[in-house]
Amino acid sequence: MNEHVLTVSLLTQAISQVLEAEFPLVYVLGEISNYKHHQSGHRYFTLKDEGAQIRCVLWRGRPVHFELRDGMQVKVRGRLSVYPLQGNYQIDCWSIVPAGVGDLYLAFEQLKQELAAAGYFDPEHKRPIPHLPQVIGVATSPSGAAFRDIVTTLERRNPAAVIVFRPTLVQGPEAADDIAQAIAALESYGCDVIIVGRGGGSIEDLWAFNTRTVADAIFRCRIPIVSAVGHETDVTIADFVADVRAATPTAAAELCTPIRREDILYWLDEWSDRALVALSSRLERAEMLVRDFLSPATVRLLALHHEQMELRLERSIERARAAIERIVDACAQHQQRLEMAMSLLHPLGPLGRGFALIERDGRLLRGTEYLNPEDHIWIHRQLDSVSACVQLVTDPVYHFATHHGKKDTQN
Amino acid sequence: MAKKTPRIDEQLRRLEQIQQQLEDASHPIEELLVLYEEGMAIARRLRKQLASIRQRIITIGEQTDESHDQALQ
Repeated sequence: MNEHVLTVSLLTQAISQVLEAEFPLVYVLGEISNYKHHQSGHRYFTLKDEGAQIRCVLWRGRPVHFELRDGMQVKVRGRLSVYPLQGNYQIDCWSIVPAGVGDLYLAFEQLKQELAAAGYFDPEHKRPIPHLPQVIGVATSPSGAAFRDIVTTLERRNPAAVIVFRPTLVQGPEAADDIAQAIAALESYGCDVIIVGRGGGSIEDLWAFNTRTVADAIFRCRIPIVSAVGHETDVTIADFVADVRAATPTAAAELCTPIRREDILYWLDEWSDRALVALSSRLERAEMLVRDFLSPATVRLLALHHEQMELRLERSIERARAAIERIVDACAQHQQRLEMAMSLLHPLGPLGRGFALIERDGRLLRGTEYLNPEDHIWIHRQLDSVSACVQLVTDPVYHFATHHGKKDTQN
Repeated sequence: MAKKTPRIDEQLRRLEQIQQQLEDASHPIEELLVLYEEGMAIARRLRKQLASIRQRIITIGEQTDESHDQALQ
């Protein structure tokens, strides 16, 4: 008999290799018991069912979005790990979701209250769907009826709108993250509005839309999001956080096409009519003005009026010219007379006419003013100015009578 | 990339603008004719666009945001 003897370590190593190779990824459903949330942050618990149990660990930092309690039905995702020193094996859990329907509802209520308190559902945060979305983002499964319904509705109502489709996992443990990433991708693409949704299913099927991950993604998105999850009667957290909730994917597509193609075409026809009416009425009014102004009677009247005005104007000009000439003549004559008067009146005028002027004490004497012997005077003639002293003052008639006679006889 | 055609909602807004100006009594007539021409041209183009347009679906993947068409701003 051949015995192959192994050491404990070797055996454990072999077990470890077999288990870890065989179960690199497992999804396990069970009930929590012996739950302990360690000070270190790590969570330890046992998953059990009627026939067996298995230890689990959730390292600190792994996401958990609801309260874990003994007795809860959960589904974990992880890998099998063997611990040689303890001689046991555990599930190293990556994520955990509630599995029992009752537990799901409980988790739903808990999250709903938490988010409501944080203001996630407040109306102030809701963004309105734009007036005429041109780029519509769609985050849903490519294989579901939801996508088909959305596409046919959009095509029927407004084929001008571009659809940006981001195929998304809507179910399963990776769904929550994928939905959040899809929203981010569609937002950064530049959509005008985003539809997030899926077809109907159980609360477990819809679970991704009840997670904090998806709630955060919807809340933070700066583009309006229309949620269309499940049937009309299903309401998920995503529906509460979304900007608009649609009862079905078809309704979501309708909300994103408030103005249909035929509405635009109808509006364009109306526009053409209104524009034509506005333009015609303006042109008509202008035409009327021109017509009235330029009727033949008006034209004749205007011409006549124009002629008369011209004639009157000419005559006025003539009269004005004649008046001006007369004034100029009168001025010239007046000027001549003034000049004559000026020359007559000029104090030194007499000198030019052959007379002499007598000045005494800086004043010209008039013929009627008396002179006295020994007065110092100036005699101004045209030829010269003479300084003299009066010797004798007599009457001119006497002077001429006596002196002239003598002078004649002497010569 | 080809010249960017204006979005439909922008063209509709322009038509609204033109309509307001056409109905404004103080606007000079010569300009009205030009505006009317422009409006009719836009309306014609839109009608043709809407009549012939086919729905366009752009699919973006999870790895990258690259797609066949360029991202719109």
